Amino acid sequence: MTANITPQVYRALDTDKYSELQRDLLKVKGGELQREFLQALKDNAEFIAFIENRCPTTEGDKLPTFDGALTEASFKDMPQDQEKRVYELWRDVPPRTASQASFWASVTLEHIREDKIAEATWLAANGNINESGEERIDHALAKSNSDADNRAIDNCVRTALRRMSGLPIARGNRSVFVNPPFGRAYWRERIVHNILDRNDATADRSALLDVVRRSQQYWENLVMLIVSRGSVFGSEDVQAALINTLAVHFQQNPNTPLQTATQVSIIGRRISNIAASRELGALPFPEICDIIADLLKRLENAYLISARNSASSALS
Amino acid sequence: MPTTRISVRAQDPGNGGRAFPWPTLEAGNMSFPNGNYTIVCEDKEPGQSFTLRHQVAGAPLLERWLDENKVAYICSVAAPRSMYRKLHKSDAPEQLIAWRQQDLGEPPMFTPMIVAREAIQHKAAAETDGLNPIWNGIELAIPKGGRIAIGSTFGFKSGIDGMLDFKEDKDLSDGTFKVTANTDGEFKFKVDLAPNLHRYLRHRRIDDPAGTNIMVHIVSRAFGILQEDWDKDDGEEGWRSFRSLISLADKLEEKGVPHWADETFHPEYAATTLYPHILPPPEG
Repeated sequence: MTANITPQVYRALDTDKYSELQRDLLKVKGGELQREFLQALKDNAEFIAFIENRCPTTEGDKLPTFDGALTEASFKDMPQDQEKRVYELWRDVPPRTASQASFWASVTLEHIREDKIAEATWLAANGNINESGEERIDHALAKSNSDADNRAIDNCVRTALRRMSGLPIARGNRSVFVNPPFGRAYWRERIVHNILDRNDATADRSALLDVVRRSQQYWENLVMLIVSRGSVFGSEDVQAALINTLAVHFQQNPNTPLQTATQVSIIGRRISNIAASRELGALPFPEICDIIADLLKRLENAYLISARNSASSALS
Repeated sequence: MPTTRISVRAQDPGNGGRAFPWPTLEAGNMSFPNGNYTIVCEDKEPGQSFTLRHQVAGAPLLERWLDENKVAYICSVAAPRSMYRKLHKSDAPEQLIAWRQQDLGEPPMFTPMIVAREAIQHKAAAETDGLNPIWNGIELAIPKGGRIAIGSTFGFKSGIDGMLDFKEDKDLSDGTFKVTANTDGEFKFKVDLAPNLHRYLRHRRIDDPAGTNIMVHIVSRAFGILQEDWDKDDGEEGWRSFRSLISLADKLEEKGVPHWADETFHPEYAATTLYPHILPPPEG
């Protein structure tokens, strides 16, 4: 029987209004609303007003804001200790809430209001370390009205929405888990905590972090395996077993060719093949780990043999 | 207490094309040609738990394995939007499936199945096992966890959308429709649509004003039927015996809208709350 504990309700932006706003913002590349949005990002108070005028906040408890120091770089790509702190602060947030873009939008907005995110323009920074979010916005807005220029504005808006909350209407459900730095931190740490809480997991914390924090693309591919509707990861045991076994494998085989983001998708597909006829979640956790470990060894051997063959055919 | 019964038969269209290395009872898989796998769900706490009973018929080999306790009964509960995937496993054919709403980012979907509890070895005898003759004489080796019966994935939709059963009616002239209540099994509204409306609604976008207006008409009528037919019943034997109606009433209540058992219920208000009219932007 389920425990009848009333879960805490946290403030969020109105979900319908927020997805309506995201949809409106994506309608016209380089359109007036996109330009207004980017202009608003340049002033924290103006940006808060821009969002709040369109999306009321629902009633609920206010989440404590992050108590460490954030910079534009550390907000964009949080160091591990900050992700850990984020989860420690927010671990009571129920998954139902943490899977909503409107919730993370409200959290990000609160951090801007309290100057924890010193400049709202941080939301627009992309992978180019030589260009701040503010510079990127200025470059985009200074351009004319050509298709390419409108695309630059659109890209900037999309980056900001992704970083603020995730952009599920354009990128699917995975966006909430992979794009907003706060959401990403919560989910990565939650997964690691849940595995460590089991008494049958064999990987340690640092090895598990090495898997979930390997790269943004690796994390994204891993999330896709879990959240896609057709996923065969029918139970959290199988998800946990995959991450646990990868962690142990990477630790024991630091040079394994299975460490790329592409490989994790291939591994996922191979597990799907096994799970099509066999419900892995019905097996005890150590047995699931054994099946996955065996699969990793076979994939690795096949990869090494193929690499050897390519090398010898290149020599001859 | 509302009961839902969901059956799959080998003869139903389905995934039979994926060749299992052993006979499996599922829709479209003719290994057990007369096989029938039924799930009976009975509410415990609506929206939080239900009991699920697995029943197999017309598949003598499976039925024997069930009697000999060689199988485990499984139901997976999935709400991938919040990374939620739990597997409920039971040694008995009746199991309790429960979840916590705060863990789910969307209504959960359920997939029932029966799997081998331990590895099973068996030499198939098509006639006595109720198997397709192609399996005759084959040494079956089913690993632990091997799927031997797979049910349909199902969910309990709580909104009006899940209760509207759109049917194309070629006899209706363009742009017309009819709504009737259908109480065979779970409560549904049968919406007969002219072919052009049927085509339009199937492909309508969520923000399309014309589609929304049509939905307002349909849903207003559906709520009107509920108001006319159901507010006089005693509750227990009437609308409360349908899970979908209880959920719909809860959904309206969540939005602060009275439902059909309430004197202040206005079908058109409830309908426009669910599908607010989308107006063109003001001129100028």
